[in-house]
Amino acid sequence: MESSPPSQVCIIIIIIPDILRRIGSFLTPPDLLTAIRVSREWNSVLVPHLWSDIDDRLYAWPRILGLDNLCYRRPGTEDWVREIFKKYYRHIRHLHIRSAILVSAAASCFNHNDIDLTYRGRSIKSLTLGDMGLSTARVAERDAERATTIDHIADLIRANTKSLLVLTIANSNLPSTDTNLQHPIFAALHGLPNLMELNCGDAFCFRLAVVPKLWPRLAHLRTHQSPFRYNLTMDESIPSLRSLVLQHSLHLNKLIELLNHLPNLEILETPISDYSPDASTAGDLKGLIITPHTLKSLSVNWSRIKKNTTYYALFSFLPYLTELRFDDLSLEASKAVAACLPRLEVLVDNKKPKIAYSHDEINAPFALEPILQSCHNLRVLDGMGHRMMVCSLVPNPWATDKLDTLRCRVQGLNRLDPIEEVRYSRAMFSQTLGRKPNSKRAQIMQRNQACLEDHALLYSQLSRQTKLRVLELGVDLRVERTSQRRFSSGFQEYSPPLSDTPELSLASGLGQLSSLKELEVFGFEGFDHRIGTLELEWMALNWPRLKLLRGLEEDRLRRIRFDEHKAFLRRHLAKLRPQIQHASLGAYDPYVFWQ
Amino acid sequence: MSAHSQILLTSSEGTEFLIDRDIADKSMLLKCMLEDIGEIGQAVPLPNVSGPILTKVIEYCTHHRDDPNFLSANDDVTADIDEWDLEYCKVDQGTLYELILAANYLDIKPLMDLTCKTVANMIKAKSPEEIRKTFNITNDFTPEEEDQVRRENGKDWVDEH
Repeated sequence: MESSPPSQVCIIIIIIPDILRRIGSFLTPPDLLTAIRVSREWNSVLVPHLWSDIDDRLYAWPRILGLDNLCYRRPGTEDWVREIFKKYYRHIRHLHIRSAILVSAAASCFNHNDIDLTYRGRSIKSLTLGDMGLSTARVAERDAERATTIDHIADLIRANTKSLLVLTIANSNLPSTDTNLQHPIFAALHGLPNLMELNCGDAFCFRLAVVPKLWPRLAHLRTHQSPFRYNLTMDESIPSLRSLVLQHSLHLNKLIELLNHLPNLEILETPISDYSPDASTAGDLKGLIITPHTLKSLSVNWSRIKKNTTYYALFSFLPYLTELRFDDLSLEASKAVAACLPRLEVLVDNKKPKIAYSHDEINAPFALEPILQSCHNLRVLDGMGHRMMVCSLVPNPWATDKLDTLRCRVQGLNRLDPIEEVRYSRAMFSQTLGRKPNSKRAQIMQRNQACLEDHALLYSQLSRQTKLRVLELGVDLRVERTSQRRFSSGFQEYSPPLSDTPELSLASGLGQLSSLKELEVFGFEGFDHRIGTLELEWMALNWPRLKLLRGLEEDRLRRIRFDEHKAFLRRHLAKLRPQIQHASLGAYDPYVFWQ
Repeated sequence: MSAHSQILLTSSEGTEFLIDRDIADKSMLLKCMLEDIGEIGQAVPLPNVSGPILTKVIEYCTHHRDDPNFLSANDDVTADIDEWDLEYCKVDQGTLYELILAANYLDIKPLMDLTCKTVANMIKAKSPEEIRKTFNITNDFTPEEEDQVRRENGKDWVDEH
């Protein structure tokens, strides 16, 4: 391979720097550092790559700049940094800084830009001002130093007014008071004509109404402001905004009012509540709704919505939603989603899995079922905190057959207990011997039939989802059995896996899932499964894209006995399909979620 | 324009290749050309691409025929190359460079990225001298210059030690 005559070849590489540039984009700085020493040609083409992305959290920067407290900064560092920046600053496109030295070096270089006319306009596109602690004055004499740094930051922003597309400012750089609008850094932010993205926490308390004037192209805003800043008058609107992330909880009234002013918003992430002293009703909300909003994606980090009617009001205002991220969607909310959002494609619920403690909880209906029954475009249903109780599943097929990801726990199946299993195999044996059936045997046969029916119901729903890539149906919820600690020999005893989970054996009908040809991830952690060598062989044969199993990974619980059977199964699978990996979602500590 | 129509291509030596329209459409050059002038019923000459290389390019486009993420396939710089692609790139260096040139000329971005990534992997974790040897490049730096390049460009900020 290496012996082919490359004389003509290297000419090709040299005469097309475009190609070398493309190759360079696949190299990391350590390899680029080698590559620029190869020849002058390579040097001139690849040096811009090496310098295009400077992040002082990476490589040796923290050590050089003394950013880690343990590190000693060598004398002369400032001069060295200034010197190399002067030479290479013009290649920098993305800059992440949290060191005053780098700020001053960069700021001084960019002021030289006026002289170096050839490089005008080719400057920083994204700037991140990391945590520099400029808002707190720990020592009085550092005040002057801070003021200089703040001026340098302002200079740096001003030098890149035209080119800046993305700006991120960490909170700690500014005092968070209402007066900081006169702050030099905020003053420098006035009029960034091309800015597309601004992430500023609560660093600045500007009114949203200023956005179109200061940053006419701003499409993505992440901010943490007190809600009264969102007040916009009737004629104010911000057509450029496409995505908005608010870290401050917003009352539903405010949310709807706000959306009326953001006609092109597609993505909104915010905590919401309907709790308010002046207790607005769903009727009040309807008064605010002029026309339905075209929002596509809504993430509610946490909600304090108490009234079910509120869900209907909210979702009927947003009929175009295709993505909804929620925490702990109740059955009522799920019904509202099903009724109002027929276009929904992605539903993610961040509710944490926990063990059911009372009988009521065990028998609670599957909250996400209304969504599965009516959203015909659903692709992703991700809610590990929810339990699909198979015994209460309706046998009519789900509305969607496009599911790509399904993650929720499956429980509530009839299963034979160990004694019944023995009795069942005896009954089968008697049957093969041609003995007359008696009532006991008939009873156990009936039990087995009930189990098979439950499994068939589950498998038939799943087998229709032929596009499934990710199917995870369980999490490990074992609990330490403290009372048995003194009897064990250095090992901790854990509760057994949940007994009402699917069996996943071929005998129970796993074979029906052979239609899931796209399946890549299959999870069955915490199942009382009967997967053996036969089932693994079946999986290896029928799921050609399978990459990851969650369920056979070694247990990582404290002082747990090594599970020989799991290890045996992993070895067996490795012989059939060595590239299949094993992983675990991690054992959940149910006590954490109990609170 | 039916979906099953076919296109005739002629390589630099004059060999003719009959391919399906949806495969030709993977090349932005051919796609734009066919959209602009329509199907003329004549062979499209490709004077910059030799027969064996064109065969190889068609092999790639045929394999990725129904790939929905074709255009964004190799966007992730850090992602590993998939198995078939890895096998596909196991060719001698000369062929690899000709493939890059063909992908560049025919404007097939995923193939361009794949082949460039393959070359990038040949550069990784080598010394400058080894790279020169691999690509047959003469060193036009003096030792002092080379050292200076290394010092200025981050001997200190790139190196971990």
